Amino acid sequence: MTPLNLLHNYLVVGAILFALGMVGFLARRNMILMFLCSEMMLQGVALNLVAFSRYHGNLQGQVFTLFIIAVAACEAGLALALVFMLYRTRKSLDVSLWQDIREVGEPPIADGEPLPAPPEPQGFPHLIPSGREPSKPQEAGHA
Amino acid sequence: MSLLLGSFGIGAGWSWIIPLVLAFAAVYTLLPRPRPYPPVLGGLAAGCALLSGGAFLIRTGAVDKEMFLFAAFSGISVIAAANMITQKNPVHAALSFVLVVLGTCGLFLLQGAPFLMAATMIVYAGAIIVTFAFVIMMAKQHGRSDADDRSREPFLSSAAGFFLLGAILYAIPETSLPAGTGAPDPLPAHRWGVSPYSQIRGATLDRAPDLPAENAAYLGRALFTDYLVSVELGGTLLLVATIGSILITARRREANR
Repeated sequence: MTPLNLLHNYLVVGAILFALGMVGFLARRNMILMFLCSEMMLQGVALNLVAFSRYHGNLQGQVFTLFIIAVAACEAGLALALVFMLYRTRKSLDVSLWQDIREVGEPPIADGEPLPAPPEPQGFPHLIPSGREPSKPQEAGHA
Repeated sequence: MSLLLGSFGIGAGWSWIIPLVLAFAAVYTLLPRPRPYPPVLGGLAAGCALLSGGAFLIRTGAVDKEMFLFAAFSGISVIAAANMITQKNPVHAALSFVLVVLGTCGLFLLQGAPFLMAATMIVYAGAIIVTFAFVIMMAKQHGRSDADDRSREPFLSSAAGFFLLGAILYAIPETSLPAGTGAPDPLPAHRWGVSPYSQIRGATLDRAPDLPAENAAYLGRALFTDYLVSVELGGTLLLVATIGSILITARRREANR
């Protein structure tokens, strides 16, 4: 394994993490999951930076990754505050409930197929009482 | 695999196209939707994508220790990432994100960055625990919900993501990367930790750093000499973000609006 091969491998893994995070961010509708996907994209970028830091033999990439962590912490705080506010307004984490603030002229997206009915809740089985209840010893004072 | 590709008239530089297409099919079929495809299909496609992608990355016959660890950590990260974006249950998705972070931390350690590994674990552990509390607090516990059981445009969004991935893979073949200053030694100890400006300021190291045990010391020196202004700016950013999130979540009275 030459250093160039190693660098290439790490770049590919970083790109995969970035792309998967992007797919998740675009496709999922849960706001907390969208936030986690953006954090995953940051992880892919950090991996790239650390790989270049090792490849060039200096610390600039690692310092940059530290700043990414700081910005990600800020982002986490702000995003969770926003998600909390949005949840409090609509009582749901579904981001499609906010499509009334879309671009002017865009048609709204309607969910076509209804969700399948949830499975029936399983009750506890009824047991037939069997056997004979033993007679309880009665206390002398109450007899 | 090159024979197979050659029969389709695809050149040698395009060997990543099979794992890419397989992974696209896997993610597209596994994304949550009201009437899901059988998960066996997506699982099969994902397994084939992993195998062919691994064969694309690990070409050499001899697998050394570092290559094995790289394959293990990156495999954990990538599998957990795919599981996270295709998982219906948000609690399971958050747990998969923990695995993604842990795998990335392993890769950091493999790259000679132990301080970054520790910092990432600590910061993300806190972030994940808070997120976890949010998920448990807000997620719909029973039944199905629009937020978790539907995807927005699953075909278009996965096509966009994998098109981007294909473009990146096309743009970084190994031949086009810059011939860096990296030595054949995988950890060039004599140059590690010395920033280009520290020598100007006379902050030269009196001896060669031991790696990677002294990574934190040299990282700290680089941070607080060459990047001091950036550190101050980062601290200011954290303060502003704290104030902002308090302001966002504060319940205002109607009279104050």
